Amino acid sequence: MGIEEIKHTADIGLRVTGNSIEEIFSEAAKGVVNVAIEGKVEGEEEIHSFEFNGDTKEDLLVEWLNEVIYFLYEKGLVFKNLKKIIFEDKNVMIEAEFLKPENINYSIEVKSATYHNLKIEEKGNGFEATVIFDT
Amino acid sequence: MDWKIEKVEEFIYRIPKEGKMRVEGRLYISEKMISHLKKDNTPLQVVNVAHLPGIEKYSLAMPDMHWGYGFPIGGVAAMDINKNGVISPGGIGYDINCGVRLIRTNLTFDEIKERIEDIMSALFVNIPSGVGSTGKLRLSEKELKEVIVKGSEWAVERGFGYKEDLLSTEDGGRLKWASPDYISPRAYERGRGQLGTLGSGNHFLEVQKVVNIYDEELAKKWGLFLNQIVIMIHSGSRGFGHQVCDDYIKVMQKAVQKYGISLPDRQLACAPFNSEEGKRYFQSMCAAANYAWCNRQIMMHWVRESFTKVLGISPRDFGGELIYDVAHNIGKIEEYDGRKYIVHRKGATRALPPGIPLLPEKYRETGQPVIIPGSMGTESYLLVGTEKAKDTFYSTCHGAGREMSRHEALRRVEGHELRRRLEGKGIVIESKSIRGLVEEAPEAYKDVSEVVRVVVGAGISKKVARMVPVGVMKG
Repeated sequence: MGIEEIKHTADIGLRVTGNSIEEIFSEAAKGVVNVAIEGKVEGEEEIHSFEFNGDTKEDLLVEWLNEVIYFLYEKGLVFKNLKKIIFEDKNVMIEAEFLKPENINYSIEVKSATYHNLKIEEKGNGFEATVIFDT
Repeated sequence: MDWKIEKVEEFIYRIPKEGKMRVEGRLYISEKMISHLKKDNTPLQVVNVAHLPGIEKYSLAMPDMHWGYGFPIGGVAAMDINKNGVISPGGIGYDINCGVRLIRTNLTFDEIKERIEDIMSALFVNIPSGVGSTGKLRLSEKELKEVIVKGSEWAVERGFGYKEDLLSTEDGGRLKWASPDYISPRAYERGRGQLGTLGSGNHFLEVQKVVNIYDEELAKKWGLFLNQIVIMIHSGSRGFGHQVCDDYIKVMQKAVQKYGISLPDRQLACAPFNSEEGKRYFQSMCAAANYAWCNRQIMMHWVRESFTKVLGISPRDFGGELIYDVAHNIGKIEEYDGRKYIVHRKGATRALPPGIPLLPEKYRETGQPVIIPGSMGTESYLLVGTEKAKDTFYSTCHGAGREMSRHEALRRVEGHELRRRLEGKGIVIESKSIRGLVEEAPEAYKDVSEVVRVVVGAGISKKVARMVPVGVMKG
């Protein structure tokens, strides 16, 4: 498992590795939080459920990350962990834990996950995803 | 990757049409910039855009071009809407109608140099800035719907500025096709609290002084003189525009399948302009553009209030007239030689020469003021459109253009040293975060003077004036 920031002139790219697609979804969300805010986050925990529909796993990942971005900037909720994730046909159901801190020290504004160079690939025994964000 | 880039003439290069490209690529660039260009993916993105249905003449890139997502930043593409031309949200960007306005004053630098710190503090208090900043206005959904239909007019009707301001704003600060009907509840939610806010990233407000006049006659007509204080505001449509783009990129992913469009990059997702999806996106994009104009109009009002209050002078003595407001992330319906195009400008500025009916009356004789902000702490330019820019669908550059990633800037530049360096140049800095300053450090950008040298050398713009900052406010 890992998150690596990749070179992109205008924006921010993340390369995320995991043993499973589920881990990719979790690590990528943590990657967004890592680049978007500074310092330790503490606060009350909240559980939220989501359901997305998309033709590919890549589409679902973009939908999920944009939800994480929306929660972070608009609701002040910081993604912490995935509790449950179920892929079913073209759907994914996610239950995730978020923190509600008093204040968030944002470092940059991540506007959106994009489809540019977006991919999830099998690598060795696991998976690797690349996502470019508009910032 | 190695691209076949051929020189056409000084400052103009071409990427020949190959494979499924519908037109060739045209790059406005200097010899000096070419080596750097080959290090990133900009040429590939110019080639990708050349695949879009309905694209006419060229897939263009201005000299501040750099690697974006989908379209390159600095990209211009005009699609003939009567030849099944497409509209692509990725060709306009997330920050719909990100743009710049320039305000002239009657003040000289010498008259205010002792008060700049006070002025910058007042601006920093009066104009909310920073990541996710919310403003002093909290609109109901009904009011927000009025904003996105009326644009700058909404602000003026409520006392944020004067009717004359509308005559100095691109399209009068209102695109008439805007509709509130195809916008998601989430976009409304994000837009309600952010009107009248600067935002973060590369957005800024600068107090500048005019240090060079290149065209005396034009400068005089536009009310500019040496050592004069002018104010530049760079901001966009905030979370509202981001959400509109986000929503429609999803819609377009489906539309691409529905209309059988084959694309080399999914971020270029699009639909024929005349399709239901294309029309709905266009009407929503116009709504976001109107939000952005209204946003900059309101901030300009607070700039006027801040200056007159701190200096204890009347609005008349302050001046504070809007020279112009330009959009540099936008799609516009424009007619040239009897054909109707949707012109995508992503990090590019419309630059109209004298005589074009699209111009506001006050600039029909002179041509359009083109505002080119430099990177933080460096110079900015005021240009004017030329007839030669017909080759680029009357488009020119939009700024310095990034050269170094934010990550690289953070690795190479030390924040407190940067602040000292800028202050050493006599610039007063107001910023929410040191990291924000570092990411926008001058060394992270191309040299704006080189960018301007290219557009002037290629004949698509002419220089009118150069300004340097004396106060910078960043989110």
